[in-house]
Order: sequence, then structure tokens, then C-alpha cells
Amino acid sequence: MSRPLRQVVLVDDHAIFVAGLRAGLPPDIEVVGEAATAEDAIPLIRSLDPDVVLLDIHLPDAGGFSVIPAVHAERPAVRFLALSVSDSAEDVIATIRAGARGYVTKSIAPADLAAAIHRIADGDAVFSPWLAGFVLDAFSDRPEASSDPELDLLTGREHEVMLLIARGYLYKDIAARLHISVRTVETHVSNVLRKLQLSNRNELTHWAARRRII
Amino acid sequence: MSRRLLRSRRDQLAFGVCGGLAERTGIDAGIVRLAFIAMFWLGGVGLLVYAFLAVLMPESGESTERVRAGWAEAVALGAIALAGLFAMAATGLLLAPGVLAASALLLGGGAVVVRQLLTPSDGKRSSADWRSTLGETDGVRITIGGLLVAGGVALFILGAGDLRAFPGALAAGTVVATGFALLVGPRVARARAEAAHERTERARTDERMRVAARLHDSVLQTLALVQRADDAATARAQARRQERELRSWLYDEESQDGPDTLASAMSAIATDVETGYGIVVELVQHRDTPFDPALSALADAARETIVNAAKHSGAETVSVFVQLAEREAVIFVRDEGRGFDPAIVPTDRHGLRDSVVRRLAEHDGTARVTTTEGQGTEVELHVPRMSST
Repeated sequence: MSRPLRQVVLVDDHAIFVAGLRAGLPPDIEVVGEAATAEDAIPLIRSLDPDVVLLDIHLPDAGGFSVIPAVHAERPAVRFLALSVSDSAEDVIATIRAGARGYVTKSIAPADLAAAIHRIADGDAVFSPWLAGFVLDAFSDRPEASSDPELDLLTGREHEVMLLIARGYLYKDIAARLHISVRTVETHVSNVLRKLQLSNRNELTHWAARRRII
Repeated sequence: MSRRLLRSRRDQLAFGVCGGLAERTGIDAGIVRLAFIAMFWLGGVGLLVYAFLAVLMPESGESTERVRAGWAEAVALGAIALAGLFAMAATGLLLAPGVLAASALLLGGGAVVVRQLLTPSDGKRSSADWRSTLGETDGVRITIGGLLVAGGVALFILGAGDLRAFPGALAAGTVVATGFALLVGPRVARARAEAAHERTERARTDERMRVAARLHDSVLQTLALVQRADDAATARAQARRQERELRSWLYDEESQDGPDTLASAMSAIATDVETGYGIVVELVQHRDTPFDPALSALADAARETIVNAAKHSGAETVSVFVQLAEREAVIFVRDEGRGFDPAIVPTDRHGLRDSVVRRLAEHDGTARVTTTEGQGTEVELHVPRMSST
């Protein structure tokens, strides 16, 4: 199965990590640009118009999430994948809610990262076990009066999918276990991402700030 | 010459008031002391002013060695004061000792009370620990101040014969003391503010030193080790251990005093296994809760399970997901290693049965193993929770 070529911009201030990333990515991922600060990244992404931006959550001049809305107005097709090594829950959730389509940790294997980039470029969402665990925790208790149950609760299937991701299963394993297609798993994850971005329940970002364990 | 008006600890006979004034103004301390003695003769005013200043001026923070031992000077000054006292008593110029003592006690006590009532408003005592200890000394000081005032009143009543002399002495002392307070008050207030600022600054420096020491002992040492590590597995294990430790220090303040919660215990277990077996433990846990016997058993069972995966599965990564629900706590331990056929586990291997199943059963918990040869293993550990959070 040949995958289409994806153009990627790396926004990260750790030169060693960026160099390692470039070396590890397969040939169907082309790194077209690099930036080390939010200030440099915004015009670069606007001019290059890549498929996917790999965005470090912590940049020297601003939070990574500040890049997303600045680009989104002009280049709505550019998709963002958040990367981090050891950030607080608050920063990760702020980045997701700013519009990133997924979150992975920097310890991810290059092959898995390449798969995540393709998935994001196709418009799907990518959840690490950490993010799935967060969703399960944040959406677990049922609020007495949910303002919007459509957004504030997970369906049974979404809950199952999140639980399996948190336990470390890959999409294809999840599809096999639940007897559904990988495509359906992706749909569930995308729906959960939408809820994560739009739901107001528990004021998620503040709630995340009080969560100290990552 | 110092910029601030502080009681001196360097040049101190009684409370360092004169030394402090001398350091502030540049006038010789001996002259300042003689001036106070002269004022002492004027109806005891010097003593009152001295007491007032001793209470109001903050003590200098410097702990330099004293430049004056001062015994000779103290004896000389005391002799001058006494001589003057006798001379004035002989000529009838001095107020009666009873009146002097009474007004001294009244003013001194009043000063103590005023100081205590004023200080809480200086706004620097934000820390809760401070407040509680200060609250106690506040009470003690106000009590002492009150006792002094009461003693003054009592003396005044006992020495009723001096009824006519007393108001004059009190008025004179009050006027002079008030004048002095107005003169030095703003300076004292500024000195207090600066002293408080200095304290904050020192606390900040201390904190920075603490962080630097911490980074030096942990991160820099690990970086040095990583540079010298011969193989990638060792380097990775060291980097992972350091990452986890730093992360818990940065974000997990509550559980720094050893593993007394489930999350801190699981972090410690993950670190131990990574260091001991050279694998990566991907730990996902979003909630935390204090330990109870059931959760402690769960953590022990999880440790055994993770170690099993590290030893036998052949996988490089073990995923661990901790889920704390209202009614139960669940830990999933999963690897993508070789798996096994539970039917053919040698009977002499009691790890799973004894350490995991029995341990959990004591707390009404269960363990479930899902495994297929060649396709990895997942162990689910459940215990019911005693109380919901």
C-alpha cells in the first residue's frame, strides 16, 4: 500500500530532537520547513502551506497553542499534531482545544509517528494513551445537569475505544477486539476529539490545571 | 553610616537603640548615649523615649561581630546617670521615683500594645505557618503590654500621694514620646518595609539555590552518565528515570514525601522496573488517591505483574493504565510480547497465583489474564474501593 507524500513543518526548539526526527521519518513524510519559535512559525506555515504541523507544546516565546489560531484563519486546511515530553495537563488540553487534531509524546516510535501524521493529514484524530486516559477521567462522572449531553458525555462505544487506547492498544487491535473497522475506530476518536474541543464541562482547561499527575 | 534606622546588634549596650541611631546619623554612639542620659534626668523622659524606640525599631538583620563589648562604657554611663540622679534628687528637681516608674510602665506597655496592633498590617506575613506562630507571640506580647499598663496604674494608685505630680509627668512624657514617634515613625516604617523586602529577596535566592542544587544533583548527573553510557538501553533507562523523577518533582508536589498515594507508588514502581530491567514502562494515570490497604495490595500486585512482563514477555514496552472509578480501582498491564499458554505455565511458578491473585483476593479483588501465544499479554487487576472520593 503506497501512501501519499505528506509535507510537514516541524515547530520545536530542541535542535537535537528535530534532527533525530528528520532522520527517523520514512520517505513519504517530507519535512519542508522548521521553526524554533512561535513568532517564526506563523509566517513560515502560512507561506509553506504544509499538510501537517508537528507542534511542540512548549516554545521559548509562547505556548504552542498560540500558533494554531493565528494560522487557522488563513490556512484552515493545515492540521496540527501536538508533541511534548513532559508538559502539564493544562498545556496539553489547551493545545487540543485550540484546534490540534491530536497529541503524542516525543518518545513515540518513528513508524508510529509517521502513521499518526498520515492519519492527521486525512482529517482523523490521534490520541496517545495519556490523552485517552485524560478523556476517560474528565468525562467519567455524570454531571447532575449537563448543559449539552451531546457534548458532555461519551457514548458506550467511544468509552470502549478510549479505554483500549489508554491501555496501549493500536487502532487495528482495537478494531479487531471490537469487531469493527479501523475506519469506525477513527470515526469514534474524531467524535471524542470534537467533544474534547467543544465541551465546556468542568471547564476542562482549568480542570486539567488541577490535575498534577501526567 | 547605614541608610536605615535599625536597632544595632553590632554596637549594643541594652537594646542597641543608641548604636542604631549612631549608625544612622553618623554621630558617635557615646554622645547619643549621653544625650539619652541627659533626657533621663529631665523627668525620666530619656528612659521613656528609649523604651519606646526599643519596641518600635526593628532589629538589624546583620549578624556581624560586635565592635564594642561595652562593659566599661556601660558602667561609666550608669555611674553618670546615677550621679546625675542623686544630684537632682538632692536639689529636688527630680520627680518622685514612684511617678517615674508608673509612667514608664504605662508608656512602655502602651507602646508594646500599639506595636502589636500595627504590625499585622505590614502585609508581608502571607505564609500560614508564620501566622500561626506569630499569632501566639502576638497574644503574649499584648498580654505583657497590658500587664505593664496595669502595673503602672497600680503603682499610681498605691503612690496616691503623688497625685498632683503625676499628670504633669505623664503629659510631659507623652508629649516627648509622641513627638519622637512622629519624627522617627516614617523612617521606622520604611525600615520595616525594607527589612521585609529583604526577607522576601532572601527567600527567593534560597529557592533559586534549592532548584540549582536539585538540578545539579539529578539532571546534570544523569546527563553526564548518559554521555558515558556504552549502550543505548542503559542511556534510555537513565533518561527515562530522570524524566519521571523531574516530572514528579515539577508537577506532583503533593506526593513528595514518599509513596503515600496510589499515583506516587505507581510512579516509583515504574521507575524501579525500568531501571532494573531496561524496559520502558508507559504509565498513564490521571487520578490520585491516598493509600488504603486494598490499594496498597493493588500496587504490589501491579508491581509483580509489570516485573513478570519485563522478565518474560520479551517486549520493550509495557503499558500500564491506572483507572480510579468510584467503586473500584483497576490497573491494566499490557505488553506486546510473546504471550504464553496459561495451561502450560510450570507449576513451580507461583508469581502470578501467590503474589497477584491471593493478594487481591484478600481485598475482594480479582485478576484476569488475557494472553495468546505470540500476541502479547494483558493483565487486569481489580479491587473494590472502600470509600469513594
